[in-house]
Amino acid sequence: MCDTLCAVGRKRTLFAKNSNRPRDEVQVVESHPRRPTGGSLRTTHLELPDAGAAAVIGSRPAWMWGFEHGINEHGVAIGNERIFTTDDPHDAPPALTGMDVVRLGLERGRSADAAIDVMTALIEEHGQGGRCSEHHDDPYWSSFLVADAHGAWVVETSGRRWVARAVEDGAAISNRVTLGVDWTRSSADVAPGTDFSHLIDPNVPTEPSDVRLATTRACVTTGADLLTPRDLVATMRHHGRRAWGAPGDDPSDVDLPQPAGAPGWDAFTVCWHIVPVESTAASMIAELLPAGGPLRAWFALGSPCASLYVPTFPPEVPEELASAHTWARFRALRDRVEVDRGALTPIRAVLGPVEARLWDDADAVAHDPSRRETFGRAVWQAVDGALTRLGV
Amino acid sequence: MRTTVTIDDELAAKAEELLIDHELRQPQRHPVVGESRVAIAPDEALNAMLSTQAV
Repeated sequence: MCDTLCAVGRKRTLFAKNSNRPRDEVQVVESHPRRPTGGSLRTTHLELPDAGAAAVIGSRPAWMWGFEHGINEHGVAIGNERIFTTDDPHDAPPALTGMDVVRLGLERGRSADAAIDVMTALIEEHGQGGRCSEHHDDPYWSSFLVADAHGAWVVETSGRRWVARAVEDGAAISNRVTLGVDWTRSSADVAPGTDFSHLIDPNVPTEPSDVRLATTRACVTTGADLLTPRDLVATMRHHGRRAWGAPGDDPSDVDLPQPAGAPGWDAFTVCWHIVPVESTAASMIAELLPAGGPLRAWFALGSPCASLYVPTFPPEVPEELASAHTWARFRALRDRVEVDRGALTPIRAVLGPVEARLWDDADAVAHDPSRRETFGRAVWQAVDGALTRLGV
Repeated sequence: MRTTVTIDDELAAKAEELLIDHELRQPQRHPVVGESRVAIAPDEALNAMLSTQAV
């Protein structure tokens, strides 16, 4: 389960995703350089001809090839969502997973438009299928949010079928079909005027997604010209009551996760703690500027509330974020909060000031390439120090 | 003719106004889509969702 949003403004696009995964599944943030065309490529379940790749940074569940979310050197950001339709994914043979499609879109897309051309062509040619969980036969279809500095697309799929709608000011997607008859592009097997929402699986409630969409859409409605990446962090830390925890805010102003036994759908929050099934495993915020502007992304491992968003200037990223050990350190903080939600307050007392300083420092060097390099080398020292202070 | 409004009516109107304002601020906290409440624990609800299509 996940949440993804983007806000498209006159001068930039803001993008965010929370990746909610099985609680023991390690996720790593990796930077991959350009790769020339040729040979073959082993995706999670399929071998494909390798069309080459742009430089990408992606957040990858360690056992699979694909990315939950990521950004490429051309300023394209992509994230996916598990969605439920009346087509049963167990009927499909192993093929591409939604996470494979995210990574292939980033590797091959020089723009959001180009990326959805690539992604939908691959879905039509190879299909989707195969397990998406390391230890369970758990295949699913995906929807996607594909963004660059100039615009974005929502793509929703069911097997090889897909529809897409261009995003105007912004959009948010979650674990449900959101498009109806408002799509403008589709696979050939979708008749004009088809209401895609008729594919919604009636056996799967949409409320856990609807409550989170209310949160993410409220953020998007603010508009890219008023929002900042810090606002997106506050939304990704949402525990069902309010956005909180923007870098630089009072670190003692903490909104705890929902208590055990929270009524109704209240437990299904953007910062996701459904113990013992799933929790947020990683998160990304990106600021996509037109050519020439510095590309910026902030990556968090573990739950956003019990983590910090590390500022990066793609394609550079601290190599420690690619370590399973680093994920385990953040996971330990998340576990601490999920055992005793009150533990979040002292955790934020340590992480909050460090995060605020890193964000301020990153802002200060954003337009100076030489200082950005120095910042990139120093950033992990501050993160490591905070984690050590917290005993992880 | 002037209409007389009792204080209770005023309070009731204000309360309604506040309620509407609250709902506008949180328009979809409990959206009207199928059953809006669940009686089982969140982990059980999520497991049920994830296993719906399991063969």
